[in-house]
Formats: sequence, structure tokens, C-alpha cells
Amino acid sequence: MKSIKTAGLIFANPFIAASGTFGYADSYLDFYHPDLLGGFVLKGISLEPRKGNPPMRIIETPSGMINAIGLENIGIERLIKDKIPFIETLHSVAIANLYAETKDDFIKLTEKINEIKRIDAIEINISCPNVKSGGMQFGVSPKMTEYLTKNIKKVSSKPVIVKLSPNVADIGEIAKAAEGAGADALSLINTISAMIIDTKTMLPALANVTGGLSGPAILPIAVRMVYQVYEAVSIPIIGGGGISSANDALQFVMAGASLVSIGTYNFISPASIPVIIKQFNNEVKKTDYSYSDLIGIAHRQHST
Amino acid sequence: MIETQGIIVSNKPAAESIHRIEVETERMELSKPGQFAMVGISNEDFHLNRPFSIYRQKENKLTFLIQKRGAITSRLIKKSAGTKLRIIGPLGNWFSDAPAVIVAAGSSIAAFGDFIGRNNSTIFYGAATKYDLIDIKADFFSTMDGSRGFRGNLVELFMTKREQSDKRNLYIAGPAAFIKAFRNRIDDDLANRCCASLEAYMGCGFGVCLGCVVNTKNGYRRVCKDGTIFPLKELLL
Ligand SMILES: Cc1cc2nc3c(=O)[nH]c(=O)nc-3n(C[C@H](O)[C@H](O)[C@H](O)COP(=O)(O)O)c2cc1C
Ligand code: FES
Repeated sequence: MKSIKTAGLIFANPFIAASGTFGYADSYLDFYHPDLLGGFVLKGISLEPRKGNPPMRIIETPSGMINAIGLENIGIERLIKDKIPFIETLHSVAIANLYAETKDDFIKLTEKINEIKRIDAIEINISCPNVKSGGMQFGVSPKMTEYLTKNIKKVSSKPVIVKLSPNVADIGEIAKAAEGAGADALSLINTISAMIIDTKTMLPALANVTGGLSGPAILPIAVRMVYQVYEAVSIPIIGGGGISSANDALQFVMAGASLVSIGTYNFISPASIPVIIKQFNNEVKKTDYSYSDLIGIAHRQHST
Repeated sequence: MIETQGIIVSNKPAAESIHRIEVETERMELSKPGQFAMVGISNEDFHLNRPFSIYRQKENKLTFLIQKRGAITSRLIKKSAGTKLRIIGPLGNWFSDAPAVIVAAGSSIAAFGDFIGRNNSTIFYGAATKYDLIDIKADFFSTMDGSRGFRGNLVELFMTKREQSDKRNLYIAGPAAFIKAFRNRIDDDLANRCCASLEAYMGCGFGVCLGCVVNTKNGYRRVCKDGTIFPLKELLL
């Protein structure tokens, strides 16, 4: 497959390892080399280290899992000191995932990332359902999305990807707001707010009560949202949510995603992305279309 | 650590609701005492892999002791020879294999396969009834109903034999409630020499999801990667 040029970046293939499921790019070395990926998104990073939520933090659900990690992370200073030297040795697209509670902290974080040469783009996480403030609070309002994106675009020296929350009534509206504010690409979907009750203890299963649902259970919702966002905007889309096979990935491309992201499935089969990439290339060949023609093809097929 | 395919070669009951399952993997690194593997059933609907101690290993062949607990373990213990599994391992830190005193509650005896039958270690092993004990050579048994060995819980058995625990390492494993009860009952000298292998609900098993943390004096630590074995003194259970 030819490389993919999108949002001012060049991806060797359309596969991205999703934030929070790929650590700081050094967790899968026993399984495969990160250079085999189109790109990877680092674990959400904040200005200060965050302790995260108390356990229980995760629980399996039918065809998925709910997590309430609470954005535990090492903070930007330790990212620079301990993790960037390794990331500098890699060649695939490196995306930092940013989390802050206020606009000013988002700006400070963006400025710090500007100084890290090896980071190619930033993904702003305005869609985490597992933190008390910031996170999803920004992402559920078109006004806040626009305000934040505009301010971050002003200071960022790198392409800005806005990660959208599925926990909204009209995702197309939020997507338009981000595009209007200058976002270079959109990434969707983040996890869906959800919960489980343990009927033995009669308590919510997670200490945080609610968490974010991911895995195959959310795939049809994510495909629907990518389809809607593709109609609403013209900037590139990184699509994902529940992908665990080449065929799943192809659905997202046909719905309108230029790139696809794999998250939870990395936990189940950590060696699998390179295998899926090979299968995906074969599936694309079988269609007789070029990859770029496949992006959003379901819309065109539907209207003919 | 590697991800590989495993095939069940034998599956036999080892005790009430515990099965001894032998798995032939395509390839496997040699595990150390107390390490574990993540195991899932291939070709079935989405489920998280489950962590199991590697009870025994001979080259590519792994033996697990699997206790029926929830949906996946219930399915696993019914699987016949030939069933394909996903295996990720070996995972977690490990016990030094120097002689040790071991206190194992229930199926967590699986963490100590390498110590069983070695004459320089002392093993305390307890469960609810004799039917819940797998057939191994331990030095002291306890059952809640007195059907084998000491009648009562394992912590009390250990306390009556405290002198057994000389200067050797002290290793314990079991559910969090057991480890807590043990810590509350022993003195500082013992606690200082004691390491506990914890159980946790795990998302990945190799340190990346941050789903399995336990609170310690050094903050949250990942049971799968920073453990499963921790100095007892560090744990804030
Ligand atoms: C354990 C876990 C941690 C996550 N952490 C982050 C994060 O820090 N930042 C973020 O933007 N998304 C995070 N996500 C969301 C994923 O990046 C992804 O958008 C979501 O899980 C849907 O894709 P999937 O079904 O393939 O996992 C996390 C997901 C999981 C399961
Ligand atoms: S189970 Fe994922 S970090 Fe421990």
C-alpha cells in the first residue's frame, strides 16, 4: 500500500494504536516494533502527574470492557525525560494525547509539546468520561469545543487532532465546531459512558461508579458516528472503536475514516496489529478500488 | 514475554471446582517461580484474557490450575483436548527460588508449583474442605471443616507453627482478604521477610492498561507488572 498523506503528516499505513492502550510506545516491544504501525498515540498526558482513580478500575462487559483509569499518567516533565529518548528512535507517526482541566493548562501543555521535535501531532482529549473536570466537559458542547480548539491552534506548532466524545446528541455539530476552529483532523470515538452493577454486593462494579465502554460492543455506534461526521466535515477522520479485524477496519474506512485506530484489542492480542495490517492490505486489493477511493465509499454507493 | 497459540492437551479435575489443564504452546520462554500467563479462548466472542499462575512448565508445555470463578473459567474447565487458547507469557515478577516457607490459600497454591516436593521448603496449604485441596505433598494442611489437617483457617494454622518460619523467605498467596488477615496477625519480624503474590482483575496482564492497580506505600502499583509479588510491608490493603 502507498503511504497516506493526511493532515500534513505521512503515514506508512492507516493503522494507529489508540491512546491509553499503547503506553508510551515502549510496552509492545516484545510483540512487534512500533515502526510497523502507521502511527501511535501516547497515553493521555497532563502537566502534572496524575494518580488516577482508585481500583476497581476495569470490568469486562458483553463484547467489551468498561474502564475508569482516570488518566493516570507520569506528567509532561517525566514524559520528556524518561520516554521521549526512546520515542526519538522510532519512525512511525508519534501523536501526543493531551489532557487538562482548563484552557490555560491546555495551552501550557501545547507549548511544552511544541518543544518536543519527535512528536508529530497532538490529539486533544476533550472526551474522557472518567475525570471530574475537563475531559468530556469540553467535548459535549460545540461552543467549548470551538473555543478550546481555536486557542490550542493558535499556539500549536504541530497539527491538531480533536478527539470527539460519543456522549453527545449530535456528533456532527461538535465535529463542525472543531473544523471551524481550525482542527487539522478528528479522531473518534472515545469510550462511551457506561456502568455495571454487581448484584451480589449491590454496588457499582467500578469505584468511580461510571466508566468508558470500549471494544466490539461499541463498533456499530462508532461506525455510525464516523459516517455522520464524514458528512458534516471535510477534514480527515481517524476512526475507531471496537476494531479487532481487517474487516472491522475496512468498515471505518468505507464510512469515511482516512486512518483507523485500534485500542482495546491490543490488550487481548498484543501482537495482532501487524497481522491485521497484512490482512487489511489483502482485503483492500480484493475490492479493486484504490485505498483513497475506499475512504467514504459507503456514502457514494448509497447515493447511486 | 510472547503471545502464542496454545492447545489443550489434557484437562482433568484436580479438586472440587479446580481443573488441571495442560497446554502445549507453539513456543514459550522459560518462566520463573510465581510468574503467570494470560489465557483466553481463541475463536470465541470477545473476552478479556484471564491471568493464571504457571503451575508447571516443561519447555513449551504449561500446566495451569484453573478454579471455576466466573463465566470464562467456567467455560475453560469444560474445554476438551484440542481447544485452542491465546497465551501471553510469562508475565509478572518472580520468587527467588531459595528455600522458603510458603502459605497458600486455595487455588493460589498454583503460584508455588516450583517449590512443591522440594525438601528444603515448608508448605502450609489450606482450603475450605479436603475436597478443595489438590493432591500434593504439603507439610501442613488446614481445612475449615477439619476434614484434613488443622481445623480452622490457614492463618491460625500458621500461627501455631510459627517456629517453622526461621530465617527463610516467607511467601504467601491468596485472595486480598486472606493476605490482609495474615498481615494483621503476624509480627514485624515476619512481616519484614514476607512477600505476597496478589490476585487482581486484569485487562492486559503486561502493564499497559493500568487497570489492575493496588494501593501501596509507593502509590498505585500495577499488580501484573510491578507484581504480582510485593513485599507485604508495602501493601496498603
Ligand atoms: C484502558 C483504556 C485507557 C484509555 N485511555 C485513553 C486516554 O488516555 N486518552 C484518550 O484519548 N483515550 C483513551 N482511551 C480510549 C481509546 O483510545 C479509544 O478511543 C477507545 O477505547 C475506543 O477504541 P477501542 O474500542 O478500539 O478500544 C482509553 C481506552 C482504554 C480501554
Ligand atoms: S492488567 Fe493491564 S496494567 Fe495490569
